[in-house]
Amino acid sequence: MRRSLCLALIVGGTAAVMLFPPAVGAQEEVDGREVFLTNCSACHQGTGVGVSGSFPPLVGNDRVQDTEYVKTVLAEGKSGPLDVLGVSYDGEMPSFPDLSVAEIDAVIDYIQAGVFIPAETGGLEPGDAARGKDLFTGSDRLENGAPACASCHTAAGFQALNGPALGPDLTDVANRYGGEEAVAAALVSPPSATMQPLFTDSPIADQERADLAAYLASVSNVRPSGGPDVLLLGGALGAIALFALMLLAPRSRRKGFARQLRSQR
Amino acid sequence: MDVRAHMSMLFHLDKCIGCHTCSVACKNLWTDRKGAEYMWWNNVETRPGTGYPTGWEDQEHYRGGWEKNWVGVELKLHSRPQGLANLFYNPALPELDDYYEPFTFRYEDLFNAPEGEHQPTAIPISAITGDPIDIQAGPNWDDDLSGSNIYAANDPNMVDVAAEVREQMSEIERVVFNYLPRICNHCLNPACVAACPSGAIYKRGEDGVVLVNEDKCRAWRMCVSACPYKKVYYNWSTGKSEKCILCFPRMETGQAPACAHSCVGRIRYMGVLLYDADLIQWAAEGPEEELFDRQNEVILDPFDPAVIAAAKENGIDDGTMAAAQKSPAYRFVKEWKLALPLHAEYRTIAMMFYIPPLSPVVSTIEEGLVRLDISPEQIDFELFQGLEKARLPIKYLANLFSAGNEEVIEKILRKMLAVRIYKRRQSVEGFIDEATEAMIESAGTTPEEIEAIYRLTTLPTMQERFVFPPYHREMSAEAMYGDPLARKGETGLGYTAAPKRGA
Repeated sequence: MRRSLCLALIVGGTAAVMLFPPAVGAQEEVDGREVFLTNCSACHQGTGVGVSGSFPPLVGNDRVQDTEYVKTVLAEGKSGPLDVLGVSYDGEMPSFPDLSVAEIDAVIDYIQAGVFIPAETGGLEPGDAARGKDLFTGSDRLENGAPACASCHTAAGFQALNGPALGPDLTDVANRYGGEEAVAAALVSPPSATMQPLFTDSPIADQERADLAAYLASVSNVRPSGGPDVLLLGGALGAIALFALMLLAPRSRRKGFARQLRSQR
Repeated sequence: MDVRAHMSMLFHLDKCIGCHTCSVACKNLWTDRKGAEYMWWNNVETRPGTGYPTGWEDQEHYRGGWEKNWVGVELKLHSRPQGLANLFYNPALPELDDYYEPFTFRYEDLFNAPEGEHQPTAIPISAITGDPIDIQAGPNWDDDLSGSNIYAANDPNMVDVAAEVREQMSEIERVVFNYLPRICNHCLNPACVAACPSGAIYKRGEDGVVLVNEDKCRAWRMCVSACPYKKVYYNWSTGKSEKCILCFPRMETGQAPACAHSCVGRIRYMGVLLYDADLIQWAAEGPEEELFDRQNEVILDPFDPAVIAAAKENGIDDGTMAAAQKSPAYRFVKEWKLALPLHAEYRTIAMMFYIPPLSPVVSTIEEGLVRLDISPEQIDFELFQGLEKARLPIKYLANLFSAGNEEVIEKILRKMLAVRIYKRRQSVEGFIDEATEAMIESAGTTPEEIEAIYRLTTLPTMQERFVFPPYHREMSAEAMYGDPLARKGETGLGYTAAPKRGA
């Protein structure tokens, strides 16, 4: 039943496409601002000023006006040192292969227009590292109900056995992203595909972002753990101990009834 | 009273000649498949002997059946927490050597061998690896007492038989054995059902057949250990457990199970027994010496109006009721009290019954000649009065059939002897003397009962031996599949669910 339904859909669909090809460019209107806020503002900021040292500004940046260049960057990503308006930036930009042509056009229109969110709403109060730690570990709940960072991540080895290992260790994330501000910015719209669905419906509040960023910046110089990997070492020792115990255990696997009888012969 | 019907088989061991036709009929019908080579849903054992799988009755080793302890009646295999702990490692399974390594012969050597001086032979090869093997065991390896110094000597039922009796039995002139055909006992309190972690085994309501649902079986193999009769087998190819299904497809069409149908000695009888499901727990919990009496209580009288009414209320149809009234199993088990279940002490309330075998008087040797130490005219009465002289020790039979209670066995053997002596006097001498009449009375029977036992033992027709109730499968087919005629056409096409276009 299901199989024949699928077949009908495929055949019917193919025929429909051949008969009525979709009109190019006749897609619904895409809001460039939406696309920008979803994909770009994490690093370049809603204000478009970027983050010093990491993510270059889009405001007043001549390269933005070169449509082909922007398309290339969106398609391939960009990394390494880059001079913009006489300042050097050294962040990493991923490619955005999932954006449709319409979305790319719309977002380029949006950034070329240069009308970003006014600066004052993008700024944050300075964060409180102590509260940030509580939020990170889950001692304080995030306002909008998102899961605590420590559900997946660890930072500065705050737990035994280095804590959770589902996501990357965030100890030096502030260094990698280029400072506290960059981390706070990235938390607006978390960068990984795993995190996005979790935080889209329950975004991290502004003050929480600042606090978390402050905490992560404060631990950014802690070496994750100087010694060897406790988990690996413990596991290996435990395995050796178990094998040793098995060797010590008496070889008392019972002998089958028939074998007992026949050995009497 | 919760009246239900049960199909029970009865084995008249006095008639079994140990030909294994039943085993072969069963194997050809059900277990000639890959992974089922070693399965013998029906097997015939020589007793004394260790049976198949080797030593299955040694429950200290195999841990089958139930055990009465301070909790009540619990599986001998494990308590509930132990069962959980042992879920991934069942310590009480029989091993390959306890069954046997399935083998075949390299027949192609007979045809493909190059020309040579010697006749080519077909050597045995393992059915598992294909390599030549030295056969160490088989399904009836100790048949007719072969290897008796190992197998018969280690029969678990011989444990409390007196040492001098055992000594006697090993003398060549006094050697004795009988045959014990075994199928699944389709118990009222099945340990396999209780032990299954997946809940895959169930007992059919309409006739008590215990079945494994192959769709639900998850290969835990707790049933294999828990069954004290070792009649659940694990199919290594499909990863599912299998067992005797009492040939229910045959019974549903009015035919006797293959083993019973093919029986050369006509030792098998089948019929309906009505039982009271409310009494099962009470019966399983009884003290050891009362176990069989309680089981007899569980089996109900199909002529009792109260039972008939309760059966009707439970949806047992008139056809089944009529079959129950004609059931040979009922007559032997409950009416004449001649048949016993195998190993009542396992507390599974086995529902297949055995009439224990008679045996001749122990002989003596004088001056190199074997002779009986009684006069010919007294032979009959001698055994009747001195059953302790029977070649098969009463204690041994008691260990097999009555949880060690010798009185029960003696009573049955006396009644069977009474039938034999009475009929012999009647047909050979033409009259019944006073001594015989006195003997009949002391055996607790009457000439009428003797006549009835004699007729059903020696002269029964096929219809008297096998009394099946109408199963009315056309009604259940209607309820489950709609059109019974369409169902008939679809049967045997390999579906476990009704076929449906496009699904």
